[in-house]
Amino acid sequence: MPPSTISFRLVPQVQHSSGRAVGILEGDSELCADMLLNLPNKEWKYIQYSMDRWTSGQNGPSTRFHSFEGTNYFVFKHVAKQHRFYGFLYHPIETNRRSLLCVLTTYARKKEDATSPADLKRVQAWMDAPATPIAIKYFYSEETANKDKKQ
Amino acid sequence: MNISHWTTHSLGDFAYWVASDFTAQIESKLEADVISNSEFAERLGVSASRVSQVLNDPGNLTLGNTVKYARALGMKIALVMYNDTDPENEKGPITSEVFTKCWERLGKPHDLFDLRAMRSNDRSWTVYKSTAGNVESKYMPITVQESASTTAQEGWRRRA
Repeated sequence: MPPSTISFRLVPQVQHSSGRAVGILEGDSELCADMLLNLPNKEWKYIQYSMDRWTSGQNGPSTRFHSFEGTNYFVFKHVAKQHRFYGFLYHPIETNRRSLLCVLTTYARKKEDATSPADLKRVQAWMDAPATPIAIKYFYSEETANKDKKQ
Repeated sequence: MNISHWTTHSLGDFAYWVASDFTAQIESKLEADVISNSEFAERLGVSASRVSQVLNDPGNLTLGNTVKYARALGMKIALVMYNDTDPENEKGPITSEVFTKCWERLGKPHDLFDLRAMRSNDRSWTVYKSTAGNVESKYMPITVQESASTTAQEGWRRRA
């Protein structure tokens, strides 16, 4: 995967708690999770509630989102509408292991329940990409700077 | 960047969130108790596709049906109005499980008399649970931490 100018941002209008947040990695043609921002209103609301639920500290139901045992992969899904948004879990603040970020990278539209290894491979590639932690770190440093300005 | 929560857009969006919060509880209960959608549908006397429809698009849920769904799982339901000092709803609603967990932590009080029996001391909250059916109506301590002023034995309290 070639290095590119990728960026990270939190999913807008979703609750981001002190413990969890959901964001999107963007800026490369293979990064397609931002598709969720173009969903029809009802489907977007379904996913938004699921994200609110996860960021509030809950770990189910698995019909809406789940991690993959023994890995950092994560998925938000809308089974009836065949949407899957894959990503990975990441600790954005090195000194706070309780702070958890779900970084969405990949969108898939599919009928079958089983996850395609190809989708997870794409997630893994972005997990390993050196540009990923840089983009996330940059986002948080900007956030901190903006907060400081306001104060 | 300070963008309000998506449920500030309309009352309909807020209602959708609340309905979703309810159906997510149903889904969690079905998962925990290993009940299939078709078995749940049978209990409700509706088709499995109707159950899927409601779980996937909770927007049209009625209060009557929420009661029906909860009762089919042996559960009860409450509508709670709360003030979280966020009148403009910028932070979004609070998920119902937060209220449930708080209630469970307090020993599942059944009424305000049970709740008033909870008393504090300098180190911790002490929770008393009503011993249902007991003629003397005593409260039984369920979490008692020893301190200079409170012991488990002292924790017994008779209903006034």
